Amino acid sequence: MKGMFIKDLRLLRGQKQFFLIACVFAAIFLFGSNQYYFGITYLIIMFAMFTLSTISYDEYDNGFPFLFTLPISRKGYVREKYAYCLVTSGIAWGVFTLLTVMMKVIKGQVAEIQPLILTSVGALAAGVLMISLMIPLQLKFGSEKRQIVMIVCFAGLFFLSYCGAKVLNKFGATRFAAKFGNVTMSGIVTAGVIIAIVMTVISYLVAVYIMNKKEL
Amino acid sequence: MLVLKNAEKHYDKFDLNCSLKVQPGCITGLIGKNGAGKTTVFKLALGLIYKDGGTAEVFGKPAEQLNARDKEQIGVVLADSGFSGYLMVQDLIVVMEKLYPVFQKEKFIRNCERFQLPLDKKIKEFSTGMKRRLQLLAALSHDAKLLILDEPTAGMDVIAREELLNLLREYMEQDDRAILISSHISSDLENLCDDLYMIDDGRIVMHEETDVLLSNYAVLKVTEEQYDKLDKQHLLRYWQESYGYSCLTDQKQYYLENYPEIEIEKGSIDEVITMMIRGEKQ
Repeated sequence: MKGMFIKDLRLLRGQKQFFLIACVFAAIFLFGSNQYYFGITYLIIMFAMFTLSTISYDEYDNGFPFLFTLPISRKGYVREKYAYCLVTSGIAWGVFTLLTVMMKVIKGQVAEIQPLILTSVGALAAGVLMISLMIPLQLKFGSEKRQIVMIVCFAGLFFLSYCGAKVLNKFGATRFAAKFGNVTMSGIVTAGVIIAIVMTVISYLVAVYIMNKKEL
Repeated sequence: MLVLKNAEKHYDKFDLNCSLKVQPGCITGLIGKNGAGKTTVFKLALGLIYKDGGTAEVFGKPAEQLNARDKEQIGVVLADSGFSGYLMVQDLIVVMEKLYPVFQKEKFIRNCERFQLPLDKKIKEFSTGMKRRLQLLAALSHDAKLLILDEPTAGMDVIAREELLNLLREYMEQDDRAILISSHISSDLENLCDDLYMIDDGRIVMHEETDVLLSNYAVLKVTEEQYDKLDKQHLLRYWQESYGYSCLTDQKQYYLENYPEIEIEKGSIDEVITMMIRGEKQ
């Protein structure tokens, strides 16, 4: 796994311009507009995209068959991609959150630190959920088809949310909202984190299954 | 080292059913026209695709169960796949050091310089021949026991080809190593292989030791009249020509002694391939 990890870091080095642009945008959101929630979500998704791009690079010019003649198992490959994604996104998230907290301390806005951290953890959970969806799709469909499938998936999610909202409206959304109105921000974030962890585990197992079935 | 026994793979328009064996200490060649099934055989042997029947074993283990440690013992060149084009050779050196416990870094760098492979250029900018050289040098750099080489000399000039074939000969100087190799350049195989398998339309149509093939096989050029009188029990294939028939035999001496009047051409791999594929069975 170490060799593969180094390979992916070397590939990331080849994308240093995109990497720098992503960091500059995140910094603008952080220091320029105080939109830290958007900034951190953006950064996590960008790092997830870097992981997906390493899979695209592996596939480039029919590279998969040769890659799997090297001492790498199919399961090990999937494990490395998840580890790489979580480590790089995790570091980006940690650094960005730390900088934001430090900024709040400098500005004397200490009261905002707790909601900021909760928001930041929520953004991480949202990013992880997105990664959980994208890695198996990338392995199953490849770069080009994956984008089409993603559009279909998001359209499906939008449609389900829309229908859900309609149904709730019809059958007493007010009572529903009142029932869950007392749930705190930390409660929502905790639920989000648990869902993200469960989804990551499911996503990993699905990705291993896809990879094991894949003809190279 | 490598055994395929009635290994089957079925696609919509192609079916493979193949048996072959690569013995320790031997270089085994696989020859056949484009689309005959050579790459499918290589992929089955490496566990890259799943067989639909039969067995495919490497080091006594089913190919699809080869783990990372088993793969450390195999060096591979694939005709239609290679290292990520976005890496440079210098990146590859760091990666290979981590992947293989016995990666011979100095030797690999020396060979890259010898075969004019720049360390600081992206692999996607390499020519086909350079990519193939790189794969072959990488395959030879980690003390593998088995080399599986699909068209390793494609796109190379004569001198580079000969130098690389010499590297393969040096590699075989150590006991208990083996090579399975395919090439469309038959002279490469004639001078290198101990035995040859010929594949056509997904089936092995011939297996012979190279020495036997070169010494015992021949093409008889006969008129129709000579053909009628010919003892046909040692003819493998025949093909109608403008002058009569071309006939492939694996008993050259028999026809030399008993039919001194007919024209007999020494069998070359190219001729044997052509006759085995194009010719009709007796």
